[in-house]
Amino acid sequence: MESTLNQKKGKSKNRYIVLLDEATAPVLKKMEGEFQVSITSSEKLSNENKSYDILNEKNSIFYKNLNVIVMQDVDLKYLNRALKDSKSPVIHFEKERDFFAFDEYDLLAELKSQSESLQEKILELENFLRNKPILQSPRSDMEWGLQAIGLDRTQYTGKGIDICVLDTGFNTTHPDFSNREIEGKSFIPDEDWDKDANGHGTHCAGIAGGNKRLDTGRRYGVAPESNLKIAKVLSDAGVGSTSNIIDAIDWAITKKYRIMSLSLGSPVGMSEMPSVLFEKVGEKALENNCLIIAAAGNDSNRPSLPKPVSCPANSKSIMAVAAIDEQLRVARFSNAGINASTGGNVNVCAPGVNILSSYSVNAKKPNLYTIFGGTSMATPHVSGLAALYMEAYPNLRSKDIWELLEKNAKFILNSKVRDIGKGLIQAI
Amino acid sequence: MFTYLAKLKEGHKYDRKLRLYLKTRNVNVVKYLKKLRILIIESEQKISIKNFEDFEILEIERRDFTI
Repeated sequence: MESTLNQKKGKSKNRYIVLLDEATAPVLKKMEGEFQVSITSSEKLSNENKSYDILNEKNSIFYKNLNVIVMQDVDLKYLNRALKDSKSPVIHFEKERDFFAFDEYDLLAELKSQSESLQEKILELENFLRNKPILQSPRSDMEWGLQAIGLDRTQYTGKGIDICVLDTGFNTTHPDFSNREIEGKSFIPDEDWDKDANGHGTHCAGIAGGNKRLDTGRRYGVAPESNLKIAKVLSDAGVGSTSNIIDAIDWAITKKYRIMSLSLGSPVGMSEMPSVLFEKVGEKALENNCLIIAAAGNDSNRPSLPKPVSCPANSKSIMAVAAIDEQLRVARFSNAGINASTGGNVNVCAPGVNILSSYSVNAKKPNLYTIFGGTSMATPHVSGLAALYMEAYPNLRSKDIWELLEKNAKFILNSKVRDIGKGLIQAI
Repeated sequence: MFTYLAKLKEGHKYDRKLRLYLKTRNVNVVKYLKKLRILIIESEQKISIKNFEDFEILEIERRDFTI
């Protein structure tokens, strides 16, 4: 503020206030020689002989009572040299400042103009943050989604925590999982859980509990030391029904799995009440120390009005996950908490665009890896991270882990709660 | 055939008495989910919730879930 006010009041002259530790006549004489100035004592000042009349580049004024000399247009290198010289009497100097009384209205106007300029700066910064890639220097050893949730600064790996992925199954022959013991069960007649002819399940499970690519060493899994459990509740065509899903949830609760990851959903209409069934199922899971995490759904086409959070994520007892992209913008397709009267809010958001993970060689386009986008991809990021939290806080109940995930989430500037809930999940 | 998901009311059990009762009403029990206390049941006719005192119908199985 001072500099702005100074500019307003006029530019100050090039004067320096020099403090001496000793100011005897020989010392002053020596200084006159070194600085090539004449030093006048303030004792000689009078009404007719004012300081500002005397002071110029050749004449300095010495204030005896203060041990101070005021010099004008002095060469700074002399002053600096004197300051460093232990034999010199100069112990400090500073540039002259302007002082003046504040007028309240002046001050108000000044503050107003400064707040306007600050507002501009804030907007500028907001625009910058909105458009800049989240990762200034992307790491080559980790997918962007993992960096965005802070996995590059955590020691936890989800060790020993059971994550149950309810999806299209899992391709157990994938080389990245050759040393993992993976348990599973199919709830779809005549289709095995360990084949995954769709690929979606292998992708989601890879995000939640995978580790690194064998070929490049780049990490794509959130909780590499968790125990992956697979429930095939969607057919190879990617479709399932309510009874398949609640059958699997009952199985997972019986097995005492701590986390269920549901990258699936059924669209709901505006103002449609959440399913009583899933509300009770979610409550029962929490009672049994199991957290159900579900995708908010991909029915939106932003920027037009987004669609409401799908079932079962719209149940209050189930954690709903929205998707964001690498610029931390809400994904175009991500559903929102717009059924305000009936609940169905988004709880948190996670990376869900341009996500690489494991894939199934049994799928139509067989490949070991692929890139997908969707709230389906955001959900296993949260499930994997929940496993890290459970490892870090072994005595906390699943409901407490949910609260902690929300508490630690980072709200994204210029976003809406209806789109991202408490914000982007963060590792501990 | 209609499929329903029904939750046992508090204090009620999925026992022989209930199974017999459902049988007399031509309701087939597909599965009982013990942990959730939910019955998956099938009936050729629409079931009215008033017919049953042991459980409440939570949802008619009509919802398709997709990836």
